[in-house]
Formats: sequence, structure tokens, C-alpha cells
Amino acid sequence: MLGKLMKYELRATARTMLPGFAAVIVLAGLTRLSAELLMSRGDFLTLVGTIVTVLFVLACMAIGILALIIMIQRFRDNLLGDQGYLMHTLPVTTAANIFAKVLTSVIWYFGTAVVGMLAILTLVARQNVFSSLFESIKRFFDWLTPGYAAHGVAWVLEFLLLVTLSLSLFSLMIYAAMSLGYQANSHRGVLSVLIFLGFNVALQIVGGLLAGWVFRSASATVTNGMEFRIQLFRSFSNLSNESQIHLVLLGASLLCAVGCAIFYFITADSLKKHLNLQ
Amino acid sequence: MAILECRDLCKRFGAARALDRAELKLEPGHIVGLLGPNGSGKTTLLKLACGLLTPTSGQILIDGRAPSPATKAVISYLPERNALPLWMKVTQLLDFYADFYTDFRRDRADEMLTRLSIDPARPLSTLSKGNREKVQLILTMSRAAQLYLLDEPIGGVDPATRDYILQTIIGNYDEKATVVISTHLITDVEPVLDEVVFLKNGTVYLHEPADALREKTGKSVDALFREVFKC
Amino acid sequence: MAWALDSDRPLYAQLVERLKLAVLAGRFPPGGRLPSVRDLAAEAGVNPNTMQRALSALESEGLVTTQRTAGRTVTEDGALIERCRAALARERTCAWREAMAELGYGPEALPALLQNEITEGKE
Repeated sequence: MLGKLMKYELRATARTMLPGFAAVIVLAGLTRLSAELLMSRGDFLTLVGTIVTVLFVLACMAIGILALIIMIQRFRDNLLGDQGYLMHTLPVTTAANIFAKVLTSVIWYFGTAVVGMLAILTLVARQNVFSSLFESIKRFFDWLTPGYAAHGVAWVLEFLLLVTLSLSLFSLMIYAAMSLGYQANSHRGVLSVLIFLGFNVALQIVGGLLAGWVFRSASATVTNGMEFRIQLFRSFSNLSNESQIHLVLLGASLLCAVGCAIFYFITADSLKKHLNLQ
Repeated sequence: MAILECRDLCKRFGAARALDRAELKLEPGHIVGLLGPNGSGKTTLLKLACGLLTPTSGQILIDGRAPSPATKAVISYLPERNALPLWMKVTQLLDFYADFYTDFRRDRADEMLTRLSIDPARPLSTLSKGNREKVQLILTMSRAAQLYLLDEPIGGVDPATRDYILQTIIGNYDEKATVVISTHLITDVEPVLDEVVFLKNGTVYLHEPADALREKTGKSVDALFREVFKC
Repeated sequence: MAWALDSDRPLYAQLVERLKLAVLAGRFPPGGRLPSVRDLAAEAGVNPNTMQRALSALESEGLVTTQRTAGRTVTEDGALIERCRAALARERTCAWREAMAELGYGPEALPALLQNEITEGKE
């Protein structure tokens, strides 16, 4: 069922995202063309070239924002609005409905990054762009190789995991805020924003407390009851550099996962028990 | 086994009691009218059955089970509002229903769309409001569900379409299924009902076969309704 | 809807009347097949269960029989149909008599009224 939901989710959002991606690539191409053909000619053509460049930069910023807006609109219209009468009566679990939205958002964020990179490539590509790209990647892995190869690949994977979980956390935070905000009968949007800000503040506080806990363990002054923390910090320092990086990446992923779980439960509970379709 | 059962069902929204210890048992094979004035709890009851709301206390059971994806699979719900995405074409909506509901009968849907001269290649946004409602109704009635919950199915349509809708409901009749029609337009719907439920202030005021009511009171259901719910 | 029924009275009873009339009027000829319950119900605009009850009533009177594979057929018993016709005729005549009585025409005035109606009808 999740697969089916995702199919429709991607189809519904692709209607806006794909044209946006296309616009960015096309504008990148046009910017490149204008840079090579127009800029050196007369005043008017330079103006056109400048406009195209500006448009391109705007488009790049726009698709990032577009992905965010689409994600919010989609959740609101499809699960909290009239379409909720359709979606919540389908023979699917609330979990499936939520995950379909989260996964689709993450896919589009990654897509935005890929398109951004493609756009930059389009701008700066020379004749041998792919071979030079290959060269760079090969050199990166060669640099990693002396004992680092396996770790390198693992780090990349762990980093991707962290990025995915962070994006999921971001999406779930928004969804949780909206699910709570839309329980009210009026001023739902405003409430959702306020709740989202509240979540952010809460996260900052928790983050600050955690950081404080970690750094106090590292300070020179020792006080009673800190033995455990000092032991922990010492054993961490004793690990190899590679392991430390793994631990940091995985630890951060774990924290994101915990955050995801919390906001997922808030969202699921709201949708299951406090759905307020009008 | 009763296809829909309410046991001491309560639903409160803040201080307001939408449903107050409602007791109801509907058996398969009937077309039931769920009648009551605005605010009597009709829509709340339907939403509880669909799992869109959860009870404050008491139980609601579909074929003996609490609302879940499994019960949603056997319920075909027609909400009062348009729930369909406007950007989708009618054919895409048919695909959607066929994808998620194993009991969806595509041939029936195609036939009804042709009968009503609705072009399936068009997006919903280009159809008139009336046609959009018809599409939603066609999708709902094309499923071979065990329980049909129709919230004001004939409210916003012209008399000819009203007749067509009621005929579709009759023609769709299955002795293993039950159709619940929640409506204000009692006169039009009366002949089609074989059971009648009056919902008053969140409780079930009566639940009787329509003809038995007529015999007992010498009145039409509509007339009885006006009497019971006199303002 | 096709069969304009009176919602003030039990529909089932009205359906029995209409079905009998249809048989007597020849719409469902003796020995002929009846449409399915669902089709009849859709035509009449009533609940299939109610139509089923009405058909069962006709069945218990012998006007209609059910064959498992072939559905319902009208009886070929001519005498039964005649008795049915006579019974309905008597009902309607009785109703007419009561209606005239309401207008103030006692039993003595009835033959004249009827005769008038017959002669006028011939013209």
C-alpha cells in the first residue's frame, strides 16, 4: 500500500516539481549561452544576458523553496483538507499515509540537490566535463584508499543516512506542527507556524542541554558524579579517528531518528484521534 | 452478524455532545435512512464508522470489528463535500480506486459515466459542480462494498439526476450489503428505504422498518419526521 | 418516479395492488415472465425488499409462481385471474358507492348515475 501511495504522491507532486526542474536546467543552459555569446556584445544584449543570469539564480533558489512549499501544501490539502475524506478512508494505515509524504519530500529534496548540481555543471562544463568529473571522483577515492577506502565508503553512506534522516526530521516536524495546528477550527495556519517555531525552540533547548552535557565532560575541572561522563569521553578519545567519525555520524543519525520518532507519533496521533476535517 | 453496530457510543467535541449513548444495530441487506435535523449527529456517526473520528466512549463496530484499514476496505463512503483531487482526470480517478479497492468494478463505473455523458478523459476541474458530484457518486457506487455510507447523496443535484441516483442505489442492491443514506430530503428518498433511523440530540430516537412506521402512524416518514422534530 | 406511490400508507400494500392491476391489465400476461425483483423495484422506485414482500404476497395468493431457474411467472390459471378481477372490481365499486354517499347520493340514486355515465360514455 505504501508503494501505491507513493506512486500517486510522486505523480501529484511531479506536476509542479518537474517543470520547475526543467526551468532551472533550461535557464542554466541559457545563462551559459548568454555568458558565451551575449555578454561581450552590445549594451542591450549584455542586459538580456544579465537578466537571464539573474533569472537563473532566482530559479535555483526557487526550486528549493518550491520543494518546501509543495511539501507543506500537499500535506495540508491531501490529509488535512477535503481530500482527507478520500485519503483517510482508504484501506491504508495512517503510518503509510504519513510515510508516503515524508519519503516523497525527501526524494524531491535530493532531486533538488541533483538538479542544482546539474545546473552548475551546465554552467561550467567544458568539453571534457565527464572525464574531468570521473578524474575528480577517482582522485577522491584514491586519497581515501590508504586504509581509508572501506571507511570512506561507509562514511559516505553514513552521511547520506544522516542527510536523509535530517530531511525526514524536518518534514515530520512540519507535519506534526500542521497536524496539531489543524485540530483547531480557525487560524489553523497561524497556529501551525507558531507550533513549528515552538518545536524549533524545544529542539534548540534540547540540543543546547546535550551539548552542555558533552562539553562539561571535556573540561578540566572535575566534580563529583562526573566520573561516568569523563569515562565516556576518555573512551571516545581513545578510539581511532575513523571510528570517531563513524560514531559521530551514526550518533547524529540516531538523534535524528529519535526526533523523527517523536514527531511521527505526534503526527500519527493527531491524524488518528483528532482529525478535524470540516 | 450486524454490519454496523453502535454500543453506548458517545462523541463529544469540547462541551458539545454530538452523539450521546447511541445504540444501533444494522443488519445486511437493507437500505436505511439516517434522518435527523442539523446537529443531530448524523455526519458524526458516519465519520465514526469510517474511522475519521474516534469515539469519546463506547464502541462502533463494522462487521464486529473496530474501525481499521480492514473495515475501511469494506466501507464505501460518500462524503458531503468533494473529496476528489481536482487536477486528476476521471480515468486517473478510476485507476486510483481500482488500485486501492479490490472490490471496485470498473465496468460499472464506465457504464455509468457513459450513461451520464461524462467524458472520462477530462480533469475534474473542467467539469461542472453537478458532474463532479456525479463522478464521486459513481466511484462510490461502483464498489461492491458491504456497507455504503452516503452523506446527502441527492442534496445538490437536479430532480432528474436525483431519480437516477436513487435508481442506481436500488439497482446496486445486494442482500449482503447495507446502504445508509443520511439526508434531509425525506420525501424523495422514502420509497427507497426499508428501514428508518431517527437521530435526535445524538441518540437513536427510533429504528424501524419504513412500512411498519407507516402502518403504525398512518403517516409518511416525512410527516412523522416533521412531527417528531417540530421546532 | 414511475409508480407514483402514496407515502402515507404502507408501500407494500400499494405495490400488491399495482402488481395485480398490471397482471389484470395484461401487462404481465398469463404464463408470462415477470422482470426481476431489482428491475421491478427500480422501475417502481422502491426498495427491493418491499417489492419482494409484495411479490411474495402475490405468490401466496397463487397469482405468481417462482421457478428456481426461470424466476417468477404469472399463473395460467384463468379462473384465479377472473376471481382476482372480480374482487378488485367489487372493491372499486364499493369505493365508488362510498364516494357517492359522501356527496349525498344514497343507494336509490346510484342506478341513475351509472346509467347516465354509460350513455354519455357511448357518445
